[in-house]
Amino acid sequence: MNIACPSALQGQRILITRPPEQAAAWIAYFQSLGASTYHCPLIAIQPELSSSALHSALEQLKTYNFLVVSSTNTVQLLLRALQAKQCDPHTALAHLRLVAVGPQTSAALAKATQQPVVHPEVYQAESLVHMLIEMGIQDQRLLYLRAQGAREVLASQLRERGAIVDEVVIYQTQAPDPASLLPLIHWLENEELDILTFASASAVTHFAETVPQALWDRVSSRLKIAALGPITAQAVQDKLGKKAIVPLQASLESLAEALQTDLQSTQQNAPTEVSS
Amino acid sequence: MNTRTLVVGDVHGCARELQKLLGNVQPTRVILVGDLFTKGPDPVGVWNLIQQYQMEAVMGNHDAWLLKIVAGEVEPRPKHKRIVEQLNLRAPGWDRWLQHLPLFLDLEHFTVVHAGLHPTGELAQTTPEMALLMRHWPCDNLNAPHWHEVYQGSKGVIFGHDARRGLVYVRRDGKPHLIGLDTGCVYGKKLTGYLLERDELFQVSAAQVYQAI
Repeated sequence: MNIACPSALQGQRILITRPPEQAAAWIAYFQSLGASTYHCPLIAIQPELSSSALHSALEQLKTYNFLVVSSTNTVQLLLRALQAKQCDPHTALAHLRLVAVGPQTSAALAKATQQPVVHPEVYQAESLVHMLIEMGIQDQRLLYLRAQGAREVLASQLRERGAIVDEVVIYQTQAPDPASLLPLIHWLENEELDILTFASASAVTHFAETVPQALWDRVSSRLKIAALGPITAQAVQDKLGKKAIVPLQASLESLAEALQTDLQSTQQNAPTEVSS
Repeated sequence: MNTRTLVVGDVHGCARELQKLLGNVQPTRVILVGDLFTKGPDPVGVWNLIQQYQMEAVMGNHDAWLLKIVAGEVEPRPKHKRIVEQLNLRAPGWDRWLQHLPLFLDLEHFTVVHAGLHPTGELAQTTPEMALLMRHWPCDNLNAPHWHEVYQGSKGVIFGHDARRGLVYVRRDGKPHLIGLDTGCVYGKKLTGYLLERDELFQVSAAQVYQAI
């Protein structure tokens, strides 16, 4: 009897570090590929929906030509803010050219607005800038909704190209409550994980701040790390001293595919079970 | 008939499972990674299969220990004494065969060793303790990485000795490179064989738990 091996992720133990609202899809997808998932959010979202800057921007939505969103969190919080103002997102955003940083954010915004949303091929601010320049931003008004602490390269480069950019912080990312990180330490100490996944540089930073160096030195050699984009991968290199697996596209499916390709090239040869 | 070389993980007296594996894979050459007779239920059965298939093997730490008992160098525990007595009675020649087992067996693309090699892959730098006992590198640090995780040798290695770690199968440059075959049959898990020419793994489930891990 051959042991069925439908996925190279079969039996792999994967750490998901995203907040609960985004982790659910990752958990379900990895489990559908036969992996075991361990969830420990390394990012806590603190909405900033009552700021005067956001209130003002939403009041002046008609004056903007572009809306740029930086994450699915941004999309969810924008929808909440519009709902609080009793605005229908489809109507309120109908005149805008909608731009997202990656495919998942793009899909979330498109679903909410029923309008086309464009995103660059590579999940990186520089690629987004390049795409927007090609779309023509001279003298155009852009509303850029982002997290506190997101890289400032986007707005500054767009302004250099003649765009009028209003940046509005719609949420902050914080380190989670230390008590909630105890399971992560336990899993690492007991070698219960095979793969760590990170979707943001902040999550990597919080991981590095949480895990004692001696523990990391002991367990890191046997762990694989996957990062959703190149900036996150750079943070993995800088903070954790390891090279991360990076997918071609910043999507869950592409990340899983990159992991499977890596595993197939290094570790997979399913044994044939002898039964008679 | 094409050559079918089967390298088999730690047998530990599990003759029934070994016979099942051989019967299914039908190898023309069999190499055992050592630890052949102790712990399990049927050391004489293993010896009979060794003779029947004219098997080759490398020395395991348990095999070396049995030889020390035969040589009178150590005081045997009752369970080891019983194994030696059984083999002396029903497996004549077993000790002379065991004495001639090498620490390493050199195949075209692999070195076969019971426990491990020095991370450089140099046999001259690999001590008998490394070949028979090593699991981690550095050897005496149980918190250190497994030796094969830091192995830099250009030649592949097939090994056993680490049932806790279980099956290891690592490819390098598109080719199989590190293959750990001790999958704890005597502890109720599986006996694993690697068919060299086909790059294929075969497993037989243990009929029962013969000893706690």
